[in-house]
Amino acid sequence: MKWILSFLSFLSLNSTALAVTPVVVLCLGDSLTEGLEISPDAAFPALLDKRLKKKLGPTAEALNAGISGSTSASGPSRLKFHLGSPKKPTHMILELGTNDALRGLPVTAMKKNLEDTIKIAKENKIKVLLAGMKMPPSYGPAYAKSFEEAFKLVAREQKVALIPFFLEGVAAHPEFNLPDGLHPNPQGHRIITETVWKNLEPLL
Amino acid sequence: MIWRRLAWREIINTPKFSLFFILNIALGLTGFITVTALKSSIDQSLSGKSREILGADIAVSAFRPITFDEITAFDALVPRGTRIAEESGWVSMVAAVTESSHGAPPARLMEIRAVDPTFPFYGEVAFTGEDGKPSTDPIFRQMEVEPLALAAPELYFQLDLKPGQSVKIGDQVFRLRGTIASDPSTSSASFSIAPRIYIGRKWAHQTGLIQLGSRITRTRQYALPAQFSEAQAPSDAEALEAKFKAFAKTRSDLRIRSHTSATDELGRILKFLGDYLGIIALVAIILSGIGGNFLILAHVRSKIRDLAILQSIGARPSSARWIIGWQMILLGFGGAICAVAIAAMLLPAIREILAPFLGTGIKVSIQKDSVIMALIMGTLGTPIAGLPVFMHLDGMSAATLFREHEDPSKIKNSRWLLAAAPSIAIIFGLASWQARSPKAGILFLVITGISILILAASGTILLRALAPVSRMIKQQTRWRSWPLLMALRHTRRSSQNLIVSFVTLGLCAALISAVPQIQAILTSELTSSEKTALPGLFLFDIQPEQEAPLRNFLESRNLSSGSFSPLIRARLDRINDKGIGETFDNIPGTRERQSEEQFKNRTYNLSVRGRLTGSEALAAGREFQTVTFDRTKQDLPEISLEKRFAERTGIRLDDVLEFNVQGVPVKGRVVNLRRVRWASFQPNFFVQFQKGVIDDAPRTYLGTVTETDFDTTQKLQRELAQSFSNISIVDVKASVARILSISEQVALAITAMAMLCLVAGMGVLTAITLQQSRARSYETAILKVLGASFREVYVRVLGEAAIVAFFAAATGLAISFGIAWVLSVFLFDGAWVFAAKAAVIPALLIVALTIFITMATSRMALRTKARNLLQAEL
Repeated sequence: MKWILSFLSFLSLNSTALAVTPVVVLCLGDSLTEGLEISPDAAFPALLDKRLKKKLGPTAEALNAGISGSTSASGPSRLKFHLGSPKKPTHMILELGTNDALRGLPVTAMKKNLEDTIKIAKENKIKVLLAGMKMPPSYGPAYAKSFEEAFKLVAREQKVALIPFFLEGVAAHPEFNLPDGLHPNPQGHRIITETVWKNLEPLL
Repeated sequence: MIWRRLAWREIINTPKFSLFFILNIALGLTGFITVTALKSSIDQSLSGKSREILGADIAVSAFRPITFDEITAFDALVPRGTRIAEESGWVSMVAAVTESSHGAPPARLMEIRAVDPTFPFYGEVAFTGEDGKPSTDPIFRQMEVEPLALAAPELYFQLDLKPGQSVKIGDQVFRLRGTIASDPSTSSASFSIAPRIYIGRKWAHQTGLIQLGSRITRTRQYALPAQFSEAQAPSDAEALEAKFKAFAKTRSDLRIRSHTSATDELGRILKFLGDYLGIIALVAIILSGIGGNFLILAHVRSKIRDLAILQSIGARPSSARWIIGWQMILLGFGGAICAVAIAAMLLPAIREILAPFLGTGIKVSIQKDSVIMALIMGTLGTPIAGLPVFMHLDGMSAATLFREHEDPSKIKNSRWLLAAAPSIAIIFGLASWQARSPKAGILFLVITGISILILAASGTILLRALAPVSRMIKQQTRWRSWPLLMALRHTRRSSQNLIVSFVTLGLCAALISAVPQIQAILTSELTSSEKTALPGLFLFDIQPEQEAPLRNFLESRNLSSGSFSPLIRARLDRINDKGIGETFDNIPGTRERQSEEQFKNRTYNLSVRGRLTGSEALAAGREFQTVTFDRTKQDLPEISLEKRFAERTGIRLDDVLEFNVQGVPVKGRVVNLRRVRWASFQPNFFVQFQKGVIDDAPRTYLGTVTETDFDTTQKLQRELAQSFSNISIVDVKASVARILSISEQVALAITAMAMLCLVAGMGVLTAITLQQSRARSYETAILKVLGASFREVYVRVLGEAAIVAFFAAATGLAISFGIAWVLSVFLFDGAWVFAAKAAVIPALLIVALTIFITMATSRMALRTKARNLLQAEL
């Protein structure tokens, strides 16, 4: 009986501990995360937030920290800003790098920026899910390949989870994108949420 | 038809009046024809430039292939003879092809434009050949045959290549055939971080880059047949754009642009110019109308006895109207013919004057439409404008012969309004036609109507107040200049005539003085006074930790950096504690409302600034109470909004806005609306917070660098890539220079138009003043008969004219400030500038001109025998 009570007490303490450290998923990204030109409720962080709450309860939260036009260079300083906020993240979906490629910035520099951001996250015990990205074939095969490979390399070297392609099933499908052909529409964001959830759930 | 013969005889028998009348009508219509001709040529000149930027009259583009059905539909909308071309554009890494390269060849991001051999429809891409010399080879035709490329100089610098060498785009190698020297399609709308390279469209697929998932812009360009482009530019392209858009209403992924809407800034300039020239033409017509009406009134007054005699010997009352009416038609027609002749003679000279501003190639020719309109206005508009006078002829009888003075202006207000209605309708129609907007027509009518009412009221009050003033002077001072005292007192006695003169002069003064004021407002809006501070380069994506090192980096290279503006991304969540979605829930959803809602439901780049800069002006509200937010003194941080942004979102002063800055709610109160002079090309933002509020929020900086040449820019780009790899440079020199040159050209044209209007206005005014002076001849004769000396009569007549002219010009001047303000706010969306000097000079000229003409005519009348003067009057 004593053993049973001790075991129950242990379980209770752990569940209390779980309850006081709610899951906060920081979605650190660019316009694909921000939900450019669509309602904030339709962007994938808001949809993810609903999933989290449904699975983990009302204290779980997904924060939209997307900034349109941002490059991987902004990652470290933006993460530091969120580390100081009352809702300190426990998980981070790192979705940066597309704008680096759109501007033809060196892939090596992008890789280093992503690594620096991940290192800060890891130092702060934040679990990282890196969003892998591909470039349209029109950017040239060599650049597109090195860009895609960079995400795999970072994930492998930093030992973090990777979404192989963040826009899987969305990119190159006009019906899931805005007229600019680049940014997902609300349906596109629903697909992204599925992709993200599939990769995030094991980390929760 | 005896009245026709009588009308003709009347014209012959009164040559001075007929000449005056024709001259007056001719002056006004000359102004109209000349302004229309210039408007058309300036439109053409600027349309040509805007066409060069788009490369076509109208273009349809999409990030997907344009379907066969869409092509068929669009092609069916354009007139026969329209030239059509296609273009594909994308950005891609372009690699150098060099034999000696070790490892991977260098590659840089480039903007590729795959064009048809007919490219460009308008303008010319100037380039130097492989020998470095300017070339006139048909390069775009050659591209159809061979895999050739024409590249921006930056490509050679970045890939360390020379013309004649090759680059690889995807799987295809292209020989670099030359270097772009100037490309008219570089505009503010196409700021690009990647240098441009042209290839033939035929070779685009050979690159292997156009495949599923590729981001390619497909463009279909239309160049209208020459007769369309030149005759009615730019309205044809705009009308076609509307038709295209109507077809593509449900296809939001199709982008349709006409050359006038290709760049916002250029579109705004063209709209300003169109509205302004419309106003100038209207001012010319209204001045002519005022002059014409005045002359008819004076003429009928002088001929009323003749007409009464005709009626008393058996002529029908309608005959009097027909005689005068036919006279007006003949004289009006004569005036219109003279106007066409004068305009034809003046235009070559005006073309020469404007050549330095608008280019030597400018074609200034009389427009067929304006000639027809001038003939209609002269022939039919003149009798219509004279309708109020004809109304009076109805009440004329033999008794008129026994009255000493008969004033045809004394008719009942209700009948006068009825008679004036056709003239008002004509002015409204012309205003709407000239400004291409009924809004401008209504605005102009309302302005003119209010001005007349103000002038009539203030004229009555002022002139009636002058008689007691003369009594007061007489009683309380020793001043005994009877001619001047009589002039003062006379202003009350014959107030109705004088009020007509007062209103006429005042309205002329108001309109003429308003024109240079509007010109000052527009030129200040269009031109930059800070040319030295114009940015040459924009630096993007500067991270907070890079700000100081970058400044040092630029300083160490003696580069003058402008302001570094922080950019903080935030979403507007609530206005006055109501969620954006809730704010308009109770308002029926119109398209405008939905669009407004959609505009609000966006993220913005906020910035932080303590005070207004030189390119900003306070439109409403006050400056920030303190540069930095003081929590102890202020309940909320203060926000400044750009005026047009506030209007578009419906946000007002004192509204409390709540932004979501990366998940953190930040509230602030709108304390001012700013008017931004975008022509300064300085970085600016719709929403600006007081310092000390969002200073810790994630941000990047936007920097500017001034005065850089090509080599410096390229060197800077290379060095930046090594030290600050994320920072991108956009060279805006060419775009800024292009937009500025067009703005300045428009500003100069506007100034020239203002001068032309002033000259035309003064001409009409001369005719009016001459007629007024002639009307005073009778009094001059009476005074002479009564024994007044030359000096006494002179002072009496001149005094009265000067008093009326001075007060009318002063009132008109005051009204002109109101007109300029109303037009600047409602039509030109600009900042009102207190252009006192520009306004006062025309008003002073009006007074001086009136006095000068009165002096000249009075001297002439005084030298004439009293008997002759009385005979002329009778």
